[in-house]
Amino acid sequence: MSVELAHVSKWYGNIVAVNDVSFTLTPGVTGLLGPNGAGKSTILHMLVGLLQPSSGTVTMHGVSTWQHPEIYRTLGFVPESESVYAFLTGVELVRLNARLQQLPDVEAAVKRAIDLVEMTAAQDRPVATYSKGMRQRIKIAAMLVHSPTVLLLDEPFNGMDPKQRLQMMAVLRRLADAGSTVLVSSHILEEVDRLADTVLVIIGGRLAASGTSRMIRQLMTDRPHTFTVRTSDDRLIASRLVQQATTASVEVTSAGLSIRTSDLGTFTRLLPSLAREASVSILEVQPADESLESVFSYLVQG
Amino acid sequence: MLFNPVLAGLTLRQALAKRRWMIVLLLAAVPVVMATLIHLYNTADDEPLQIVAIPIMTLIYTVIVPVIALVLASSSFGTEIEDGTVIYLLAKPISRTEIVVTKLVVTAIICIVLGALSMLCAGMSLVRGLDPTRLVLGLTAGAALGAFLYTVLFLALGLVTKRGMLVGLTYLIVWEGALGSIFQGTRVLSVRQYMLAVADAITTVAPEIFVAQLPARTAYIMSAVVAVAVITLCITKLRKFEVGQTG
Repeated sequence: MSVELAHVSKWYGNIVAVNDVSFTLTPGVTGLLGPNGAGKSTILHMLVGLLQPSSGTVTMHGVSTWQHPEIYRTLGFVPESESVYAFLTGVELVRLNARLQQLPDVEAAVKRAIDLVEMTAAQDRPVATYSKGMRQRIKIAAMLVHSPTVLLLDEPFNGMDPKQRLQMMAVLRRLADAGSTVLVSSHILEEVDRLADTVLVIIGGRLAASGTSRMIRQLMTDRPHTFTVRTSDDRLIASRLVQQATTASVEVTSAGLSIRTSDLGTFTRLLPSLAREASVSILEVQPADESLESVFSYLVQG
Repeated sequence: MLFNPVLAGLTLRQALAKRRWMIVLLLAAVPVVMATLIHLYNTADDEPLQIVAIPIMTLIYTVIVPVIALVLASSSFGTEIEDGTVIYLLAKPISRTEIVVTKLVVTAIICIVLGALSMLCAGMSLVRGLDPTRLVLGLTAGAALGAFLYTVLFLALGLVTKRGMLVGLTYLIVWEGALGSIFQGTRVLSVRQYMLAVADAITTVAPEIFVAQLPARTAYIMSAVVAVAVITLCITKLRKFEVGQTG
């Protein structure tokens, strides 16, 4: 009962969107983590058979997902795009999907799916009137109305407020605990970290790292950090810092000191005490670019 | 199974959404209103009404039928691909043949009903009932065939290009309109000529009033060939359809 990508690449002309990615999805929640444009959606679209790999194979239970519509009886896919048939009400949208799936008991399945995403109160309103988060939830209800064993979601938490996010995480968790294989893509580390048992990190179309979320988090915090520090005497502080084993480099610039440290914890304790000893005032401490991209780019080099 | 009733219902709602139903109804009504006015103000001494029927037929054949089909059929796949809702359809255990056939059948029925009814009502109003020369019947049959073929063509356009509407209009104006009247050869590949040929085969009206330039046999064979070829193309295209990709 698994979904498998084997040496999958996808290119458009000269542009390589996905480069030789292999992994196997197993029951539980898997997070597909990566910055925007890393190729997450391309991988998801190939997983669900809506995009043909340029090379390699994607199989579900041993059957290729490309050009085999029968796989959608046990596979559900929630696309990132918000657009749904806006002229339908929430319950009509879910019912339509249930009927297209040719379910034996449409109404029971519709009720179960809508209950699961807690949209019962708003189910009779046209989808056009829903907020972003509500649309996201009704989309999920529509795509899991047939109780798929494999559910793939592209950035499902986009547009949700923190409460809705937690609710949705609980829903996905319940599905996974009941034995489903759930894959969630996201560019936000915290989302994936809270939810996923396994994390796959995608950067520049490649699988940069994979493991339990604890392993990925460790990998991300144990990396060198860079700070910009301004003090009343930059050169004095710099000379003291250089003597410390945890300081990787110190650069004196016109904007202050650019300090690279291999141990974040020690550095944050050390800096104030060094400053006190030398009677130097710290004017500013600023972490340098800590965007997800810089974290990811470290992972790629590592 | 080739026809999916659930998908048919969805297609019907989509086809007539966004006030499209108003546009196509208005289009179909224009010739009928014109014919009724001519009927009211025409006295017995004027030209035979069959002759008056020809300009109305020309309007229906060259504008009304193709434009109704263009509005409904090019948006059938076109808008779904554009707004991404096509994913909901494709990620279902439904064969691509079933999707194409169902969408085609529903859209074609609406176009045929509107196109043929427009011709029938306008024609009957002009010649005061069904004339003995079967001109109205012939023209109605021609309109029905045209509505079907245009639906097939424009449905395919929605699948192969993002600018289905524009390409469709260009085909109508440049190929069928301008080139069709200059070069004889293009007539073998013109839906408008097939419509005329079918009408001509049914009516016994004098050739001075109405005559087609293509033999009926050629029109029947070519219609079948075009329909089968384009439907096959649609199915193949949808099978190979990749998200985020058109054309």
